[in-house]
Amino acid sequence: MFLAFSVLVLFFGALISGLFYRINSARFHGSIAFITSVGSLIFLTLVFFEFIQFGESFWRFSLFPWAKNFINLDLVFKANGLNLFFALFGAYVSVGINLYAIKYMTHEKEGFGRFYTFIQLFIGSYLGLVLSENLFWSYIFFELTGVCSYQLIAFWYRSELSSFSAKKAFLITHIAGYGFLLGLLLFYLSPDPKVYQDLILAGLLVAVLAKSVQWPLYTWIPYAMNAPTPVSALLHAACLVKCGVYLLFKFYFLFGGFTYFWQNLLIYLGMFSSLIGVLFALKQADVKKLLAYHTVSQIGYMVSGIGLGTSLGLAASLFHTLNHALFKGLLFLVAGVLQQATHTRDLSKMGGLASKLPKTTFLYLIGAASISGIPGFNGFVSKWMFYQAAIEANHPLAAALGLIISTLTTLSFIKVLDTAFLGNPKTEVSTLNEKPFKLMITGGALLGIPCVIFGIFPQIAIDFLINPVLSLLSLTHVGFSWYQLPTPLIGLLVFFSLGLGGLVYLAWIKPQGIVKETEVFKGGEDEKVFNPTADDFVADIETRLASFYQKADPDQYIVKFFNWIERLITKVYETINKVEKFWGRV
Amino acid sequence: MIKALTPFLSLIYLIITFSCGIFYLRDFKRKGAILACVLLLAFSNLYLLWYETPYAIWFDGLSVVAILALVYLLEYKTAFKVLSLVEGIYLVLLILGKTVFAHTPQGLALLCIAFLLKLAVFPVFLWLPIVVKTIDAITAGFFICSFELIDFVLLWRVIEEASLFPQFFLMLKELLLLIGILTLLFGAGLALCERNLKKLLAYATIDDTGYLLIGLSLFSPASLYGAIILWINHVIAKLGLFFIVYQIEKNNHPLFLGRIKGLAKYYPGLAFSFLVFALTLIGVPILPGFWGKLFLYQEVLKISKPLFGFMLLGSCLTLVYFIRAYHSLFLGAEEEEKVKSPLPKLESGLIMFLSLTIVLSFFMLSFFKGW
Repeated sequence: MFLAFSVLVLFFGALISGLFYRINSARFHGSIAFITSVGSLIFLTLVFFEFIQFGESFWRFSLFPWAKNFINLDLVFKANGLNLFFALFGAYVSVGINLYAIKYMTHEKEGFGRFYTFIQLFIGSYLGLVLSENLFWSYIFFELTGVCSYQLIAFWYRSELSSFSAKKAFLITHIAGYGFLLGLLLFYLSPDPKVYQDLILAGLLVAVLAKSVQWPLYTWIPYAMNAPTPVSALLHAACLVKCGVYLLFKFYFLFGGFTYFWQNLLIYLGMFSSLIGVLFALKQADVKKLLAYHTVSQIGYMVSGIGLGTSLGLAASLFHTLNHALFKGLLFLVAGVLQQATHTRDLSKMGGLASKLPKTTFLYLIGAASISGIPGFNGFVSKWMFYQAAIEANHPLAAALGLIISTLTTLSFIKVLDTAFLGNPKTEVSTLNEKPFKLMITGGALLGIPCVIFGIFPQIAIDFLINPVLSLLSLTHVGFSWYQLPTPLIGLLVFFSLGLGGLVYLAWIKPQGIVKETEVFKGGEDEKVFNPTADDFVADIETRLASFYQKADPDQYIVKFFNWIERLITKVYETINKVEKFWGRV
Repeated sequence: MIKALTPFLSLIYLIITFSCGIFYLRDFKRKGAILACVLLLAFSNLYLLWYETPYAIWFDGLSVVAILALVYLLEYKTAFKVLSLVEGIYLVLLILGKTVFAHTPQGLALLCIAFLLKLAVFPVFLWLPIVVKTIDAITAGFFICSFELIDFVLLWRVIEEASLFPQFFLMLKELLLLIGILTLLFGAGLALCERNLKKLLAYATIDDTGYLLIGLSLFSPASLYGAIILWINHVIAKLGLFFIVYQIEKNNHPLFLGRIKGLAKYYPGLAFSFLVFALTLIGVPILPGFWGKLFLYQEVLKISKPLFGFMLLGSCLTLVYFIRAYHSLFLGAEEEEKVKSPLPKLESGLIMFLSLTIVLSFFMLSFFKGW
């Protein structure tokens, strides 16, 4: 029953926010959303403990039994390793983001009821999707997440850009969603779905490419950044974009693995998307667009990991899914603080924020180190697992590409660090302080802490969250531990080292005055030449890769194709119109 | 199945008449005469819904006279001319089908052509956009929805009767399927290019009729359930959309996409209603239109994958033209000089249709249990 409660509590919250939309208070609606998301997380945690103790469980609600002869619409939520993995991290991230949004949304003047109705509806739909056993309901929830995303991107509906962005996102994801519908109908209608495996997977892949922003259907995500930051963090970093990854895992489970062709396709499609994503990210000066392109890039690792098809490959993919939700959510929350502090998303107009926003900078460093795969942070572990899995599966090219992409990712985040946080403080931010952003920082910290914990103790996530999924997929468990030591021992060592360091500092270094307290390091000398802006990076990269950027944007080809179709239809329309006019005259 | 539906359909018909009647009484001249026409139309159509007697043809005639009188009273000359032609052909086909060729495959074919003409399917759909363009949105919604409701029932009965002639029945089903697909694609494609909102809704009606024909042509329980859901959904949502157009046109000039935008600021309720009606007609979960299309998709996929592809193409076009219209009218930066205040309140009729759509999303399938 707790399974159903975890979803229903969010729908109930959405209903309350919708009914009381006239109460124009960010705190009122924000608190409801926070409470319902905490409630959902608690219910899911209880289910998780039950799962660890007793194994799988399910909740069934028999719907339209009279129609069972031709369609089974029973709503079944199942608690197994895969479903709980996706549900738990989604619920956890939404708690952090809802906490953050309470403060963030106070900057708005209206639309709180609308915003929180769709936020809660989205989380509920996401959980519904990942917990549903019946594929029909998976499709319904899959589409509901799309509708919520559409409405949330259009939150500032009076802006032409927001309106266009919402339209683009909805059209691409909904049309591609028909691929999933085709897949599920074929799956249920065929006596042996394996006969239609290629067609089912082709349909599914189209839906996955659009929803999980992979090449060439990722083009809506940079536009989706014209939404409030909590939306970007929750939907377009943590949850919505993982729906496709979840579906790949689900169909992997349903088919008992993919064929050699599909494995190879996923590996290299994932890596190609990843490369394109990171190259486009490099040239961005808009901090949210930069993060959006990194979403394309990071999800490439997940898709590629699934393609590897080995225990370690799938484990890497799962772990990266979890990690990405945490560090990308965190980075978006940091971007939101920067945006509210500086009133811009343009990195060129930022600078020297480290001295003004030290806690935000600290959180940024955690997020950036995680996504860049710096040892000690969660991103490193999942990327390492991916490289190892790729080499073991005889795909060294994928491993090499992964490493190159990771290096480019690091470069991209050094750029942000250098231009926004280090260097000379800009005059516009001279009076800035971090106090108003306390709640937002707390929300961010909720996502940042696990980035460090899973970086140091990856075995916690692997043992409790990832290995149960591998069991479900009939794969062998994986282990990942630094120096092959048991997790508690590593924990003890880490705390011992930190304690020892602290003790040495307090007992010896501080009294002796060996370390002098000084100003924040700003990244070198203050001369202009050492203080490059995002524009400098962008100009340099754009010049060098000009022809690549010109040809690699899939949007132009998609637009050309649809323009051609429209021209064709317009010709028919004009002919019909002539006939109509003639008929009207007669 | 269709007999079991009659009370429900009658109720919907009465709701449509009542809602449109309120507008006629409130906003139009010659109230008495118009009301008499509407009541006469309701009387004859309800008779046609309930009874299949030899006298029914007289009520068909009465219905034709009532609709023509209504258009004449409202002084829509072009619409009157076009409708007279269409209704004239309809009556001739009906009389031939029910008298000279009664109960023969030829007679049934004539009746099918008559009803398909009234339902404005491919290739005889051209009259509908011409009529809709030249009349007010309330009358357009009223006659589209009442035609759709009554003529679909009559067509259904003909197809049921056609099942007595197996070879003809098989041929008729195949032909209806082909016409359905072509109607759907033509309706959706033309709606995509249309800028006049009323005409766009007329093409959207043609598009939706295509789905109904596909459901009817397959004639399996699931496809018929799907068609019924889409049919009821279409009647409610389309009338709701015409009400919205009427309310906006009352304060502004005729609605052309691209000429006016950002209306959501002034008409948030209308924007929300438009979105709900559009989404249900597109077939977005979990609105009623989705359930109907899901049943149809499933049945079409069973018989042919290319046909399923065409249906998906039609759905994609529907999505594009409705979302484009919604964004073009309601979202984006508003142009204040083009919008007149004061803000109109949501009409009770519109609220009723909106509530019906939302309620049916959850309970539509439960209703079938009894049928």
